[in-house]
Amino acid sequence: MDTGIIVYVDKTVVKVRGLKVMGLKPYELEKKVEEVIDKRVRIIGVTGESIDMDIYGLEEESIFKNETGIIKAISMTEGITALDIIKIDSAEQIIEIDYENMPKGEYKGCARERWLNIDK
Amino acid sequence: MINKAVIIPTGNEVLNGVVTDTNSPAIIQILLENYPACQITRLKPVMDKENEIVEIIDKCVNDANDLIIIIGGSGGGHRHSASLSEDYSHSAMLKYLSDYSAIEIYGKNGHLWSKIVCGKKNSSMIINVPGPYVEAIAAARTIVECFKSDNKDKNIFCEKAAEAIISNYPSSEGIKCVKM
Repeated sequence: MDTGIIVYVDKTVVKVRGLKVMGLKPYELEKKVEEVIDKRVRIIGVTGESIDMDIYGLEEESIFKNETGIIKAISMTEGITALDIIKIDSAEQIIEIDYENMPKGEYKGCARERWLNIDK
Repeated sequence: MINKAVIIPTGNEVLNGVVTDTNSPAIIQILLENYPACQITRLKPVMDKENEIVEIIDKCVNDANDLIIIIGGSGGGHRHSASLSEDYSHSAMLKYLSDYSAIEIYGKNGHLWSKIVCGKKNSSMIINVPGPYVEAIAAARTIVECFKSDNKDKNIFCEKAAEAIISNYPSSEGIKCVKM
């Protein structure tokens, strides 16, 4: 049995580059960034050189306005070494799609992927 | 009763130490709080490869674990960002399980945030939780509560775990959910 639920929550997907990561506890990073912006944060992707996070209830402009504080919080987190080039590389607020017109198919995954015609 | 449980963390970033696995210790603690005599194994993190995840699940089933919890790899984000991990836990479970329950949780942008799969094979209940700590722990707590109840239906496990995950998505205005 497969069922689906759509959760309507506003968030902005943020990518930070210019750092080295080893031994990061993502939950600790979430807490540090949350203290700066007073919004909820989820770390959704970590590589050795970048961090992707969802920031809830804050638009792109506000995120860039808070860039200094966010970068400082990231830099002070155990497991992260900030380089001189550390910066918010991108901040993209998610856009609501029309699920009624979502292409149907065998593939059970991202709707956006279906529009990209990967599911053939 | 859970006498024997196994936790399988997944993800290249966990395996190579970029991210420290804090989910497994927290889930072990939840299990011990409820089943002090439970024998719990935390396996070496598995790489984001579907076949490797399938193989390790099969081994854990053959080892007669009552509960198998797979952490991480439940979304679909890597298809849109090369720096996000590839998510194969759910597809590996679907490949392995002939009888299962699954709930897909989507964002309003059409991205698959998390797919929770639950099924039983031999004496093992197999279920996955997302990678982010808060949601992983909320789901694990719910799974253990389900185990303690009389009704061990896989659909109930899946629904309750999904509810726990959704209730932890941050929103100041409340969360609006629509079934597809």
